[in-house]
Amino acid sequence: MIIANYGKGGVGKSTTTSNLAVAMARLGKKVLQIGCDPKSDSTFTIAGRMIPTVVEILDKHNYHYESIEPEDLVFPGYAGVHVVETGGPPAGSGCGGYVVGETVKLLENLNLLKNYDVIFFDVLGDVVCGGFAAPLQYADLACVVSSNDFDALFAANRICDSVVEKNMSGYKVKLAGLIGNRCDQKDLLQTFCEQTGAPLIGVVPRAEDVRQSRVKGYTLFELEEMGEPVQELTAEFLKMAKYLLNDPPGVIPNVIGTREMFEIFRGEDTGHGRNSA
Amino acid sequence: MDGIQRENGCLNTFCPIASVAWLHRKMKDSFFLIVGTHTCAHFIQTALDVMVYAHSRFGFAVLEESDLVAPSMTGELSSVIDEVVAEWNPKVIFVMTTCSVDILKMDLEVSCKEISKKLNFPVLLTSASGIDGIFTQGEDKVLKALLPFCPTVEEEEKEQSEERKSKWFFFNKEEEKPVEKPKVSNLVLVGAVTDGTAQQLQWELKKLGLDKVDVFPEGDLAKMPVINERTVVAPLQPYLNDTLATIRRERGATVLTTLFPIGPDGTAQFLKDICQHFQIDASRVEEREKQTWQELEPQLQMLRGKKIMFLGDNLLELPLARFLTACGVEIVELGTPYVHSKDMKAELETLLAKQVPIIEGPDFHLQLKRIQAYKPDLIVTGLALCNPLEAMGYRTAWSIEFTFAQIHGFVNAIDLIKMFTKPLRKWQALQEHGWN
Repeated sequence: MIIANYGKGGVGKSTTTSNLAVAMARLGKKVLQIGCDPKSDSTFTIAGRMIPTVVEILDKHNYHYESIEPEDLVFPGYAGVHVVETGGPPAGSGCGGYVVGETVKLLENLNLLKNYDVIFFDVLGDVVCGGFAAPLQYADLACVVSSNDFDALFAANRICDSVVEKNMSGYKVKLAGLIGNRCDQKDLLQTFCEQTGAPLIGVVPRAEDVRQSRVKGYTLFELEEMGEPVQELTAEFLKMAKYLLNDPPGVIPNVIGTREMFEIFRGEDTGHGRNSA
Repeated sequence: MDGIQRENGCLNTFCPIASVAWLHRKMKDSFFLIVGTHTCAHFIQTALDVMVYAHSRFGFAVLEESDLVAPSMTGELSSVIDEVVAEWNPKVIFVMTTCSVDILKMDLEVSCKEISKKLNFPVLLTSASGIDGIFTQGEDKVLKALLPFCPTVEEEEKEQSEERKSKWFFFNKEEEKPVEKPKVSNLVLVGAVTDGTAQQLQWELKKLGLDKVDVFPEGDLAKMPVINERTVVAPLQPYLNDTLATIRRERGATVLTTLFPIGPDGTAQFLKDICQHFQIDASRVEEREKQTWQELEPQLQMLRGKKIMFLGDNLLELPLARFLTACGVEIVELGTPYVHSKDMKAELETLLAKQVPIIEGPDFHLQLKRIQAYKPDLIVTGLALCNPLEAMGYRTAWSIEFTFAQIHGFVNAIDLIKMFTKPLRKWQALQEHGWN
């Protein structure tokens, strides 16, 4: 099963994906997480370090693809999860989309996409171009990580649009649903899910532990093992993992137009200064 | 890589769409539709102008700005292909995409599948981007796209298993033990060489006792050979790395790493290695090789002791230089765009044993300095550089000719060696007539 995770920049995709990956490993699955971001920081909490990116490794071999073995690109991490970072050009230069698109093709050519029970693509931000949308050509399911605010949902809507577009082009990817992250409430998420027909897979509350885990370089599961009181959070991830492992059919979402998005959420979201009820 | 220097220079070579020139003649009833910019079209128009073909079976779908923002390519591509079908009536269409399509991430895969379904013949997508390939590698891309047409199961085997299935239902008492036909390995030669060259090589192998020799690609998609885990693959060209890697990975076939059948020495080693694998007596080969070298003697006299330099552009440099070393030539430099260390292992070992300096991705400015230092008797390079080098007083041979001439096997060795001696003879003749 191949799952592609998208979401507005900074909303918590990598944190969410890493914890989902470990949750699935805990449920006995062989998992591969592929970070698709030139920042190459997706798999930090699983590997415990910034692993060499595919681009860096190719460069070392002078782009001699025949010298590359899959073992050169894939690294083992916590809980037996394997990780890959595609990498990309330096900030402000080149074309990240091109690198991501080509790297995904390379991983497929090396037969890496066949050896695992679950493969996660953790893809940066919005689906701004064909290159970053490349994982959707291989995925069975797409998940969108979003917080409970308008801007994150606006980005989520664009991603739903891409899923629709891929289906029109003949690809099979379906939207598994939304995952709420850093959410004290979920009212806006629920409105969006009702309007688009997307399931709401789970909601992870705003928790300092989660934020800290990311910076310290541990997933919640590793923190739990170290004795931190994060059972409620890991339980949510296990629940979401089980949902995904149950082969949900997924949907082709109803796309909301741009103007419609503003109209639906006008008056609902009054900014970040809101008190949690 | 041991023994190979790397200069990371700019490659002076064409892009893979140029491979259309020989592929469209090899694949019967085919049409090559290249999707690219008007510059790509102009390149092919100009470059292939030197060959005048009536009604050439290739053309262009030129990208327009509206294509960049279109939600789906199928409509536009379909209407272009309808025009192609109306005029050429092909049985297979190769849609070759170029750098522009790759960089813009225009996705034609699903469009090709849909059009294929509509027209009821294969419309195959191949990427011929010049960003990461040179012109001979266009053949590699096309062959990879044709691999799915190679069945994994013999027709006979399929029939046998059908027979066995039906017998099962009608037998009452004893179950007849099905006669197991011994699983034979088939040999498949891989490379889009001319039909004539393929037949010559098949003939050589037949004389040695190997009857079941197939060639991939066949000109007809319906006649592609079986490739499975029992198959032995012998590559004919050095630039088919992706196809070979895919065959290894997806079919589990054995790919022989040996010298390419270019030149009598290469052909002999190629045949001997095949014989060894199939446990056949190869003593006839040595006789053929000796005979061929004798026939080449007049040309060899011209070549012995000469200094030849390859600037590098078509990926044939390694086997060609290796052949020349067997002719007694001193290769002062073997420049080549790219060395695939695994597939070229046998050639590399032979060349490095003779201490031939191999430079991957040579820097032309440095090569110019080296030309002036080595003063080679012959420089093998592309058309763009041949004339200026001739004006500087050097003899050159056009590298592009090696992709069109028939250079494989014992029979063609004489044509191959003449491609090196002709420029030398020409220069000699000019000298004799007082042209300095």
